[in-house]
Amino acid sequence: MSRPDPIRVLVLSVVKHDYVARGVASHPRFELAVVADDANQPDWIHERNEEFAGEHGIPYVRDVEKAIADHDVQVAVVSSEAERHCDLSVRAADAGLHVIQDKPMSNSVSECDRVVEAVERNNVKFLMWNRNLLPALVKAREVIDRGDIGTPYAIHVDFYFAKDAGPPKGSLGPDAAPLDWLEFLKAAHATGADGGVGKEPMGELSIEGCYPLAYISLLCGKEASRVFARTTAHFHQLCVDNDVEDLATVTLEFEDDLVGSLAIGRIGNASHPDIGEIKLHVLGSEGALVISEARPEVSIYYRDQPDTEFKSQRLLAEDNDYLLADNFVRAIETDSPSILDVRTSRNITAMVAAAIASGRSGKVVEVI
Amino acid sequence: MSDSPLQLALIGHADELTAWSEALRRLHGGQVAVIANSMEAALGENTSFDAAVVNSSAAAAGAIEAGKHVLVAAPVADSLEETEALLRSAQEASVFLAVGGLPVNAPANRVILDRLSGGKLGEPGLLRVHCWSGASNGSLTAKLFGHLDLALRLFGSSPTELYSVACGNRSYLQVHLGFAGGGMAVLDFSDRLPAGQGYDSLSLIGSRGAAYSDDHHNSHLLFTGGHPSALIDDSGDGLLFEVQGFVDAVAGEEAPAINSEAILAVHRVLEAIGRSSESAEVLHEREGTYEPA
Repeated sequence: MSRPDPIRVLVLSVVKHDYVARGVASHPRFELAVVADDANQPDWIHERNEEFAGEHGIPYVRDVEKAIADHDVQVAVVSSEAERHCDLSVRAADAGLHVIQDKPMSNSVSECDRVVEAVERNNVKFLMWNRNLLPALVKAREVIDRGDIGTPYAIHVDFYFAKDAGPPKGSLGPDAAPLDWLEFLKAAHATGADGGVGKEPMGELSIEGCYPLAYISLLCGKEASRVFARTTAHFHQLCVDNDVEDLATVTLEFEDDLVGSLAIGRIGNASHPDIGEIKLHVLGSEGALVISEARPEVSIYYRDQPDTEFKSQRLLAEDNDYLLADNFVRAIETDSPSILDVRTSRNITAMVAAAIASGRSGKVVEVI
Repeated sequence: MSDSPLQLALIGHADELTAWSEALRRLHGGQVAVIANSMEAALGENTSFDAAVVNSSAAAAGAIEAGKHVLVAAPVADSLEETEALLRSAQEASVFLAVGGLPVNAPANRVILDRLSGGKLGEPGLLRVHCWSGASNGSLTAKLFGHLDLALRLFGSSPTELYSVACGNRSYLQVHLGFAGGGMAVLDFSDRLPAGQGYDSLSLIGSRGAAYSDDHHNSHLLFTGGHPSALIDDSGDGLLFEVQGFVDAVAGEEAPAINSEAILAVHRVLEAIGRSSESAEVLHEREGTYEPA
């Protein structure tokens, strides 16, 4: 029996985490073919693209359209700064490529609408990279789908990252120059804490909100229609200086008597012994479910253990990347929706935008 | 006050009294003199007592009328007006009215409050509470009162804004509070769990650290065939702590830990939460009352 042809992948900018491209490459059906970006990008972007291409032994082309034309690719993996995500995704979709995109989809709902239109017009598939296939989420979905807790009527997600983001709030003194967002996030690449890299500052809702809101969408199949949020820069001077939140709570109101909430924050290294508490609480008509996203895990402690090493190691976490890639193969080959498709991703961005607006206005905001 | 132990009457439902009585065996400076299911029954006993631990506003009113100090279970009374009237009558009768059944007195929350007030956690930023039970495990209002009291103590003030949503014929309530300086809290309460144990979870995120107290972490496992069941520790230590505080306050003639102003502040928030969930509006604090923007 002959093996199917590999699905050739264009890595369309890889300036922050490279786990999306690596995750795709972990699947035997995908083959990384080329890295590309626009020639007019600054040097630091080219350097990161070059480095990734070199590591994988594939070319780096400073011309997106030429790379598409010359390399017989079928899928684009977009992992640029957030403000360029949608433009690159639209260009890839218009060239007939299926698109896998890093989060967040965009800082702008109207930009997301452009992607929805392009993906649907070109009849290509779209996947927003997510954590919905972590073992805990798979188990939660299985329990809910089986009807063990009846019909969910409330769902809550805590999503805390116990990471620092520069100097604590107020620690630099009143005369200190404001911290530059882009320069700080470029430097944070070394620790992998550069999810918000770009010219436009982003708060924690924008950077990470996609993950917990995707959990809710996965488990309840619904998206909120009204939100009320509180947002603040509670921990980090970087967030104060750039007027973005590092802590937020959001009340979510859905149709059909379902309510929920999100508590999210970049709460500092000292606030948790590991990556941070990530939990789901779901109440249903017949019972309830408490899910710790990190479990199953194994705890390892030893003398001279590096500070940067997580002491509690998630089990099967790497399966999420493989399973996402596998899900996308299936979406392409069976013409089925991906686990986080373009419309759901757009609607999650709209929820985030409404929450930010609510946090600023102090009012309930309709999600549009 | 004399050196003789304070004589207490325990007034409650029959199914509560045994546990209460057991928890209070370690009480210092006080002892249980009478156990009854109503204040009338306690007063009819041929035993004198100085103070009463009661579980209803009616019993509290009876105790005050009889000139007894009283520790009444949260939420004191069903309305702000009724609570104000009880506090007034206690003041007129020169007796203490204290509140019991408060989560702030639970062992884990005492530790958290201690670390927070000691500056270990920095400024409180986010409080998250889940409080779920079956319909038979106490009233939603009592749980709401208790956790609002805890929230106000952790943030050191009343909220400046609040929003609330309810569903399932008000058997589920979600409360979102905002505090001056950017602090926030989300609390949810359900009495729709199947019969059996409830679930409590609290996390407090501060600017320098965080505290997590969760039945999910703190439960034991019971294996009796099939899947294990969670066993949640409920030692009754909170009740002893509360009654001890009450006895000490009466003996020392000092105001109880939760004073009249604090009780009324919680009731004002409680009343506003009811209005917010009815009107689907955010309410903002203005001179002690909560109104739409």
